[in-house]
Amino acid sequence: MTGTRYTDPSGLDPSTTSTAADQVRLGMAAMQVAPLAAITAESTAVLPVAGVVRSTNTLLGQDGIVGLKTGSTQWLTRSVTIRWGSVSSTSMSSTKPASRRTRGGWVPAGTSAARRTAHASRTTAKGQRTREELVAAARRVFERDGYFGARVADITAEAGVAHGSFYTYFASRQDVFVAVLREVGEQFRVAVAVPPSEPRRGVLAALDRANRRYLEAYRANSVFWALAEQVATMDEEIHRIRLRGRIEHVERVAKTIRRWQEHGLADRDIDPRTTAGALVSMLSNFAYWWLAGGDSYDPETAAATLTAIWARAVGLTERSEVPPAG
Amino acid sequence: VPIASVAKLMTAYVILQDHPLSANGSGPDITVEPSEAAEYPSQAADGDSLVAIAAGETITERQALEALLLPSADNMAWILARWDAGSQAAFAARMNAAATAWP
Repeated sequence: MTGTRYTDPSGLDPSTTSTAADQVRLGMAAMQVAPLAAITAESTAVLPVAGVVRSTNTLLGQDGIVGLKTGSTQWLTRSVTIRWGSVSSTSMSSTKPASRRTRGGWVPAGTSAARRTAHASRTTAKGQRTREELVAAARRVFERDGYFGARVADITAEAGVAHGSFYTYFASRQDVFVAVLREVGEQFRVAVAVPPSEPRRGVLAALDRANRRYLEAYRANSVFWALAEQVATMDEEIHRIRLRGRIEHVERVAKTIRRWQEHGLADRDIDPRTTAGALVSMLSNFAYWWLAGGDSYDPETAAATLTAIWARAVGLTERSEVPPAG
Repeated sequence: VPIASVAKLMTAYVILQDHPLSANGSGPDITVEPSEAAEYPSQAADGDSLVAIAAGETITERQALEALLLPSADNMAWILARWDAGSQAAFAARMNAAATAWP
């Protein structure tokens, strides 16, 4: 990087200068630093005194841009961006230099009056409906075009709402993706939880039901779920949400195994948490390849076999009755 | 050409070189000095891009990098530079050394 001279760490000093080629080189090196790539892909963070800070990197989440940094002066907006594994540096003439007061290239979060208006419309019944329509439309667009191919303009067109109103409800494409992910995650959560009204059955029957409901939920959401898995490898926040969902599922299964052990229904020599993790992995990976990945199985045989493998893995026996809870 | 806040990418790069973080790690705590908090009003008057800070506040390395890179806080760039190298000039020297270390 011979064309670069740094005179201060903020870049505020105009004597800090560089070339586009050098910045691309730096961007490529920066991308190899995992926490740096992760942080520049975040849209918000929480700080001790400042509270929630938002990346107003207006490029983030658009046209496949997943990270790095923009900066602006009175005359120029510059950016070094990662786009699905490639790095580019651009400079654009700013059309309204006077309005870009922040040198970070970040648009201010808006006046407090504008934020209040946005908050008010988010909380009305009509606002709630608009939000739901946007989430449903976003899901269709993501399933059709993929995460990086989906543009906010496509989502608003699909929902039939004005482009600008998207930002009343969501900060970015990532934000609306997270909203869809939470909805789908909730369906899985409901699927594997035995409803309290469920009449008591044998342990095996209850296990079989939970696994079948999981597979049904997977089938209904396979396109989006497989996409989320792919996006999670690039986006740390989405990875974290998926990890939380998995841990919740594993903990639920571990709790069940512990209960079986206490009642002498399951092998006491196995570690419940580890066994639960392995079994959940088998179930979800089987479901992925079967229902999203193109592998093919008979539905009845698949469900029955998965349940039988779970039962054998924990040493569960057919005779068992579910003991009264508590 | 002047590169404005894109320089913060190198700031973050040097910080992470000197104080590596794991992908999800939060890193060591950094304490905001009273003099740094005291400069806030005049920096704000200059129209600098800032995050709110308080004297004696402790912030993790990861949070400091988030403040640097998300809202592009100039004051966090100066705090990180002081924490890492002792002075702004010493840190700028480290940035230039990192830049010239590449072919």
